[in-house]
Amino acid sequence: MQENRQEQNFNSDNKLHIETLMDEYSHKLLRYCHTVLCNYHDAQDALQSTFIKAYYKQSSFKKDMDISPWLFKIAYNTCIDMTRKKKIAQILFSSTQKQEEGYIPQNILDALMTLSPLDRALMFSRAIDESSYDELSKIHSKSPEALRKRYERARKKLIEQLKDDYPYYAKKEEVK
Amino acid sequence: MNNNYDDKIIKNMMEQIHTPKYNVSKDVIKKISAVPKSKYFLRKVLIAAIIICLCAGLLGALKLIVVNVVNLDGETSQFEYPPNPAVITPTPEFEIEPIDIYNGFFDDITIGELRLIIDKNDYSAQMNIPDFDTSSYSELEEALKLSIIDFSLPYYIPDGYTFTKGSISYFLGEETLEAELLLSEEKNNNIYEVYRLPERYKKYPNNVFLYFNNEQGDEIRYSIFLTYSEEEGGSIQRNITKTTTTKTLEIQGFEKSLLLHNSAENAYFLNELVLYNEISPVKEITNFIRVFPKELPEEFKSEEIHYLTYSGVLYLINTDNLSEDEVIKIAKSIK
Repeated sequence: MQENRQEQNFNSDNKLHIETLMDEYSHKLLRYCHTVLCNYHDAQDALQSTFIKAYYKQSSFKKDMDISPWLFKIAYNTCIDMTRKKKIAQILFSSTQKQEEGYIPQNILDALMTLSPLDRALMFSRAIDESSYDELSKIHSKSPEALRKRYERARKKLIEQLKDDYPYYAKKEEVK
Repeated sequence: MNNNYDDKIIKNMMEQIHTPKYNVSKDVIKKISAVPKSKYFLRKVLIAAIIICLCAGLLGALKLIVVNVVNLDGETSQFEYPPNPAVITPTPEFEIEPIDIYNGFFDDITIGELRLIIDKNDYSAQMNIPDFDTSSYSELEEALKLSIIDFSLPYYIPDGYTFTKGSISYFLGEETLEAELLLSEEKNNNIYEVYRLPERYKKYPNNVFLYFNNEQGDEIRYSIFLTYSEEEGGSIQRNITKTTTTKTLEIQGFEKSLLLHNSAENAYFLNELVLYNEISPVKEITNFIRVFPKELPEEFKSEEIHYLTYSGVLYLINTDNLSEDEVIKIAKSIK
């Protein structure tokens, strides 16, 4: 089953079928980039770059590899690169950051911004994508154990940030 | 049990992020299949480069013959084979893509070597800023010595952290690129040319990053940014938002030192130390660096190239999980 799905990603010339990949992964990757960058328009740019890089980097992808971590790794590196460039531009040229236009509720945005891009990536991958630490280890080149600790620390921090206005958290407090 | 509950909270929270659908296919396909507008110009440049290379080769051969003829009359002499650099006219560069697209071209790179990849079909990555990467601290120090700037490095790093990698990116500081063509390869219908750059390109760094990590995955990143201005002595303006708290520090060797703690704007830089010193570290301020225009002109126009000078050096320490005291301790150790 997995093998058949993998086959769909290649065309008759044994090249990656980029259209199929875009159909299957674009929204998931867009949500991932949106969470990491906390800006929808930047996420759109990152998504474009991710697929263009995937197309040009396809020689580094082997058929026995799993396509999903490979794509997410490219997306993550693209987001990090964009974050760095923006940070440098902000420091050097006082450029102002484009504001997120209401796609993320303000309290959640504020809380997410207290985390690093890696932590935000882990939040998405664990909570939405339900990736295992072994899978995440392929994306971030860190040990599964280090990523687990990192995720737990970030999760605690995020919940702490939202404890005043998050109803689920309040319910948990009542139970105690 | 608690962890599951916390995961549910996070999931519920993350689902409140609204990400509208976006049809990326059209834009991607357009970019991938775009035929460069000035392909004809590039072809001309390529032909010119081949002719120049042939001429350089012929001149080299001629010199060899002349020297050998001269040597016939003399005593045994040490003959140095004339270098045969590929001299090419640079094509204008616009947006720099991360160099990892071309990782395959760096597999056999030797320590300290600088390589430049030119992608003949992809404008967005036509000429990459060369990078120097190393996992050896002493190699990084040696490479920094070749720069026209005197850099300062930290001599204190908290227990448990070790140097894991360092990188320097460079500007191509001259109008004419002199480099040795190592490889020309066709991949994915693109032609890639791989050049080895001479050591002198290490004179013009753009920025430097040093990474220190501990076993828990925490990171200290020490970054050095060269700042530049069209006028000598230009100053830097920093964005300090409402969520940033600042503290002035007195650290020997730096005229202005400012500790920024920013928890809301970007937590990746939870503790951020900016040490800013003016132009004094620059040894040769008359050296120009070249910055490429962002727009793609139809053809190479020299008046569109901006010449800027280095105006200062900015040092930053970014940490994940250190106390303010530790960050200050690192800063005070910078020499």
